[in-house]
Amino acid sequence: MVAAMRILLIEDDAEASAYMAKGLKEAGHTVDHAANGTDGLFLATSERYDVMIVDRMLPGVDGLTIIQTLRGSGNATPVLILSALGKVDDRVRGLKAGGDDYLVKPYAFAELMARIEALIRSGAAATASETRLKVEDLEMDLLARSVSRAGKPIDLQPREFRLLEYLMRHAGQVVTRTMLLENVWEYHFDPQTNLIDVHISRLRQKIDKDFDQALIQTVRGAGYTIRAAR
Amino acid sequence: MPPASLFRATSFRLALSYLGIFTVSAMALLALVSWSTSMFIEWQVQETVEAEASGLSEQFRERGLVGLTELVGERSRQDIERRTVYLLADGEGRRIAGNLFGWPSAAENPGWARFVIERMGEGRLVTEVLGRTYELAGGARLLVGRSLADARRVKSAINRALGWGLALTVLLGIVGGYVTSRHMVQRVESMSRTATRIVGGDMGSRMRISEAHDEFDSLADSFNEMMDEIQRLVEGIRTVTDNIAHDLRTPLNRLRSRIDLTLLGAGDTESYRRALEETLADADNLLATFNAILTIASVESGQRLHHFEPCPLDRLLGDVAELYEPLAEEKGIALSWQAEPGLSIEGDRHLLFQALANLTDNAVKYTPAAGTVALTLATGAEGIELAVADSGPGIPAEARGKVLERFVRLDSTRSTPGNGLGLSLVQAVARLHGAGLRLEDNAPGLRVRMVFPV
Repeated sequence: MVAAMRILLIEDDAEASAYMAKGLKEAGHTVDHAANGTDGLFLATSERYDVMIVDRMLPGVDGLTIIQTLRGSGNATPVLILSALGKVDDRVRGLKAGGDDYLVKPYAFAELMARIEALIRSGAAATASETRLKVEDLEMDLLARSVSRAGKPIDLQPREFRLLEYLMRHAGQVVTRTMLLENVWEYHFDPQTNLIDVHISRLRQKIDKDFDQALIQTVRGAGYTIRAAR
Repeated sequence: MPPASLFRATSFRLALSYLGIFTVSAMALLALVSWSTSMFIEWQVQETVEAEASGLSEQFRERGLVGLTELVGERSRQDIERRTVYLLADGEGRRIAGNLFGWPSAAENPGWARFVIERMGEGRLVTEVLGRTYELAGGARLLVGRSLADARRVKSAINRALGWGLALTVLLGIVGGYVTSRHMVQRVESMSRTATRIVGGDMGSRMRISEAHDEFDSLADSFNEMMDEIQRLVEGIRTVTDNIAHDLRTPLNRLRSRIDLTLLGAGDTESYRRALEETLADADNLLATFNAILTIASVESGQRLHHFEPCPLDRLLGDVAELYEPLAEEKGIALSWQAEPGLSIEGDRHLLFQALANLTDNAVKYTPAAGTVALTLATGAEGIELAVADSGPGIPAEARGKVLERFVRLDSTRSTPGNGLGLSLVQAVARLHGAGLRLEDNAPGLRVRMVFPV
């Protein structure tokens, strides 16, 4: 898991935010909560946070305005937008306003956690343009588009390569099936079958089968992560 | 129809104002005709007078005053219709010859004059005369004129005819306006009655369309089409409501019972955990069903809510095939795809992907091991065809319409996972993109074609 973070939660639903704050605190993070847009904007501009979770529809100042205001003043803190509006257009509007990710209510807590951690990681990684990714003895060369484990080359299909790349970029973090669909396949849709599981198991065949140590782990009720098994 | 409503009718007011404009312009035209007629008649009178005078002056030139006197006398006698006026007088104004006995004061000076005479020749005759006075060499004066009585008669005959014409025009206008507007009012009122019936709850009521194929018919036609669409949407909403009540109540009840039972039993942490996990799975399924319903509703609500962009269909097909290929392989099904390159439509790529994925999902789900699933994209006779064909059990012809309805599942045991919304969504997406959806026999199996007209 990632190190403790300072998180600002702007959400007017008292019960939902209490659960969320509890869960985030249990994961070791510090949480500030604002129950309306005005307080939220005040906290967001006066304090420093690692990540902000902003509900879209808020009393006072609405979520998108808060984000636009922050971005306008040069504040680049990663923002996750929460919203009951789930159409692609709503999502596009949220991301255009300056949000970094968009999560539609209702959501699984594991999904929220995974996305927050991914946001922080991508915020940190965005500066360093890596050409090689490495997890234990698994290596990926992004320029040559090649993968090897313990020096042995592994042949991957283009989509498998992108799937592994996404996992490796978020090594140690949980990535959910929805995140994989959105980022590797780039479609927003609800699969009726656990398609992603099949793709992961194919990837496992190539990455983990001939080795003692499995790298791709299933996180129950959440998704997958790539790391050495403990 | 009560007369009050007729006179209120826009069409009647319109007819009246057209009538007004028409009457004024007809009157202006008639005035012009009347004026130019009288001008023409007067000109003709002048011509006649001048012709007469030139004959007389020729005589005067040839035979002098004596000859002229003779001729004037003769002409005066000959004019039995008493239309032409002659008067020849000497320098002192004494009458020499002619059918007038006194020089009219209005014609004292040489040139044209208009005057009234009361006597002519032997008898009494009151008439207006247009005449011309000539000064002759030697001081004598000649007056030649012509009665305007004929001209007056012609003019008044023409004016009478014009007046009758005008009256007839106005009458026809009023009658025509009444008839036309009564017709219009009747049609509008019939439409209004239909609308009132619909407002009153009779959603099936429709506007009557006449044989005339006029503007009213095209309005009625558009209105009927609009009502069909509204009715379809309302029925859609009603069906969704019914289905939500039916299909969500059962799992909600199951969920509730599980919680209830778990709380009743003296459970340990492990059984609580298991119950919670099952409850979570139930909740997720409920949410998935709910989301599917919402997506269908939002897709059906129309085009403007969705983001349309050019969608290369070959790529879409490839992506879906690639996404499902491992799943098919795991089930021992050969999934193949073939796409004609360069085919593209305007659409919502996420929805199109979802639709094609649903079709592929069904195909893979219902096809037994060692079967085949084929995805194809090609230009057919009707347009661009996106097809998913499988070698599974297929759908009997009589059930093909039914499976497109919401929550309908042919597998009555419901042993395969699914919520019965997959094909409904496909149909909604197809409709959103103006595409037709055809379910056909693949002999064996099912072939679903989405046809995008080009």
